Amino acid sequence: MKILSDSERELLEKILFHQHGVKEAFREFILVMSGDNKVRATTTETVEVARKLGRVLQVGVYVAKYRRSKNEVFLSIEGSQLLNDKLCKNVVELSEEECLQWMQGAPVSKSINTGSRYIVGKIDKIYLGSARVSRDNKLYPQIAVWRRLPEE
Amino acid sequence: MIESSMREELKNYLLKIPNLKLDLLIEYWSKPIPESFRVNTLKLPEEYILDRLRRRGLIFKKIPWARYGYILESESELSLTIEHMLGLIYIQGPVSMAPVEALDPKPGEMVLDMCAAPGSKSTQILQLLQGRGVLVANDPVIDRCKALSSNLQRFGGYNVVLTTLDGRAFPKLVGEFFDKILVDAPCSSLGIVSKDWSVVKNWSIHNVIRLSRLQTQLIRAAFDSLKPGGTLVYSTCTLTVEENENVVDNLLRSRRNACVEEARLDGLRYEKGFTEFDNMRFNDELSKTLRIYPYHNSAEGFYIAKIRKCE
Repeated sequence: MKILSDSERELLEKILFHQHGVKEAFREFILVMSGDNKVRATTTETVEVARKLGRVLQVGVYVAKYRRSKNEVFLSIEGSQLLNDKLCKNVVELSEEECLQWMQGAPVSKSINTGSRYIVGKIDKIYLGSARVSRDNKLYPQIAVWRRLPEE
Repeated sequence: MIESSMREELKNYLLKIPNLKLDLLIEYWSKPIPESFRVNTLKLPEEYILDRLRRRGLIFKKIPWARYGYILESESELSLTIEHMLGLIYIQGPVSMAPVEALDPKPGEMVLDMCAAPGSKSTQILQLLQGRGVLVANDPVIDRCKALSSNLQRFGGYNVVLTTLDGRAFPKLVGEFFDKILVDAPCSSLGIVSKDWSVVKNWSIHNVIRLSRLQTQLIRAAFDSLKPGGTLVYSTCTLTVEENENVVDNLLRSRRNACVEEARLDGLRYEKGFTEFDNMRFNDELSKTLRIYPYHNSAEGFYIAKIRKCE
C-alpha cells in the first residue's frame, strides 16, 4: 500500500485542475497508489485498519488512472461521482441514447468544442467517468470491460 | 421434477424438521426467487434513482424489513440496466437483506463481514455506515474476491478494506476490535435451491457435519473479535439444525458472555429457532433466533441469530 506523497498529490491536483477545473481534488481522502497506475481513495481510519491486518487485497475505491509520464488522469465512474459538481470544465452532457453507447464502451460521436483531449461524461445528475476525445470529435469512454453493458 | 432429483437422505432429514411443510417447500424451490434490489443512497438520493427506474417502466414495491430495498413487480432484466452498471442499484434477494438489517451498522462503527463474497451484504453495510467508520470485507477464497472487488467498486464505498484472511485468524490479529460482525457462513444452501437445483442432488449429512464444525469455529472467532457490548449476526441460507441452532448453541456453551437477542424485522415472516431437535437439546435462548423458510416470504430461506457480547 503506497500512499501518494505530497508532491505526487500536488501534481495530480494540478492535472485535474487543468483538465476539469477541480480545486483540491480528493482533498478529504487519503490517496493510495495501486498497480497499473490506479489511484484509490480512502480514509485515514481505513488505512490504519488495513495496516493492522494481513493479506490486504485492496483498500478504498478506485478513482483514477494516473499516468505521470503523459501528464494525464482518467477518472473512473466512481472518481467522477465523488468529485461530482466540483467538475466544472470539459464535462459533456449526454442524451439517454449516448449514455447507453457510452456504457457499452462504444465511441460516441458528438459535436463538442472543448479543445481538450479529455472529457467527463454526464447525464442529468449522474457522472460517467472519463473519455478520450479523438481528432474527429469522437468520445472514447474509458469503461472497464467488466462494467460495460452488452450491445443489443 | 425437483422432488425426483432429491436424495432420499435429504428427504428423510427434512421430514424430521418440526412444522416444516415439505410439499410447500418443494413447490417454492421450483419457483424463481423474485427480482429485488437496493437503491444506492451513497451515490444519489433514493427518490431520484427510483424516478429513473419508473421512467423505464419498472414497477416495484418496498420491502418492509429492508431500508432502501424493493421487489420488482414488472418483467425486466435488472442486470442489463444502466442503473445497475453505474452502481445506482444493487441486485440482491429480499431475505438476503435481512441479516444486515438485524446487525444494524451505524455510521462511525468498525464492522467486519467475515465471509463477504460476492459482496451483497458488504455493500449493504457500507450503505448504512454512510462513509463513516470502516468495513473489513473478508473472504479467504481469492477466486470469489474478484466478484467481491467488482461489486464493492460499483457500489462506490471508500471506507473499506478487502482482505483474504482465514476468518479464524481475526482474534489473534486484532483482539476485541469490532463493534459489529456479520458471519454469513458457508453452508449447504437449502434455502436457495431455486437458484441452483444441484444443491438437493449433492446434499449429504456428512457435508453438513463438516460445515457445522467450520461454522462453529468461525462464530467463535467472530465473537472473540467483538468489543465488549458489540453485536454479532450469524446467518446461513440453509435449513439444517446442525448448521444453525447447533452452531449458536455451541457458542453459548463455550462463551458465557454471549447473549441472544431478538432481531426485529418489520413484516418478515419466520418461525422461532428450535430448542430441541432429534436427540439434541439447546439453550432456551435459541427461540429468539429466526428460521425463515422459502414459503414464508415467497423468497429465500435463511436462518438469523443476533448475539451480543455482554460486558
